[in-house]
Amino acid sequence: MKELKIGGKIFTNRLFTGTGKFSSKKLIPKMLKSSGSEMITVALRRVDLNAQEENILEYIPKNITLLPNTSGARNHKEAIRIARLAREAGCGNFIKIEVINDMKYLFPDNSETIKATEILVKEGFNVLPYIGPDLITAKKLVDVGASAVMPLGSPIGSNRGLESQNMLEIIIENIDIPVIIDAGIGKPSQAAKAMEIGADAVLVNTAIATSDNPIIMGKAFSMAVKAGRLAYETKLGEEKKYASASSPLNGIIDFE
Amino acid sequence: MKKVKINGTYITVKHDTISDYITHKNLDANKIIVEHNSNIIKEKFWSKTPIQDGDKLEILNFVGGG
Repeated sequence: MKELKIGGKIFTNRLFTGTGKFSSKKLIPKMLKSSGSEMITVALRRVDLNAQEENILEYIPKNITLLPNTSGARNHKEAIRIARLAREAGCGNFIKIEVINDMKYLFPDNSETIKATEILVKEGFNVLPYIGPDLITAKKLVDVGASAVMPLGSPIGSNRGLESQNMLEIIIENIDIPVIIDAGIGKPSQAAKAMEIGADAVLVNTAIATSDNPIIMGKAFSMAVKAGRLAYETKLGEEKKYASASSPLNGIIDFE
Repeated sequence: MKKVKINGTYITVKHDTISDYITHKNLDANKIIVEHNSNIIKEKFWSKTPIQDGDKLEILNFVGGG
């Protein structure tokens, strides 16, 4: 399988994961091992000064690329502030821009995301913006130097898969930087589908973290992503209107 | 004694510097990020940054998120 390069880093596994919603943080390193995922998201929040918890970083092996998100940001200024704070932790310069001011669908604000991306790219960040699946937004993000684009499949945590498939295919066909489908992927078959239509990678959090067994589910998703990608690289057969026989039409015995 | 807003809550503190407060709360310096009056303060400057009445501190860390 071909390598995936984002922000100068090479990824051999095209399933990216998230640390949200796990019933126990102890499952995270085991899920990372079973899935082989090489990049994982985290959020930035206030320390609970009255109840010292173990830090999430204790559960993420050092060789995994950390992808902090700017969740909580409602506009580009807040996203930029969170990004700068996240980088201060010293875990690299990858940042997932997540600007959300719609609390019903959690749809990202594409125009604020573009503004944040433009400024953060100039500050040396590797920016992976999470966006609504809009080609024009994706093109603008390429122009301002994003390292990848991350269009959503369906609303965060909805498990509805690639509801935006047509729009995703348009983006994949017309954008040259990596396209990572993020949000809404609820089943391994949906992850495989994302890869079959040409996505460079997928990001899955809820479906793995909230399953009965995130370790096994992580592995299932990983297998699906590999299967979909292999199929895509080998070129899938075309869909046809009529049947085309699989067994020869000549040499059949005489039934008379 | 100084009245300081720390992580959104007004607290009365006697500590002179950020580093004093961090040590008092037994926080792991490697795992936290500090913003003082909207400025990010690198760890090496914590002992040199005084806490004054009316200051605003945000002490942050990474948590699970998607």
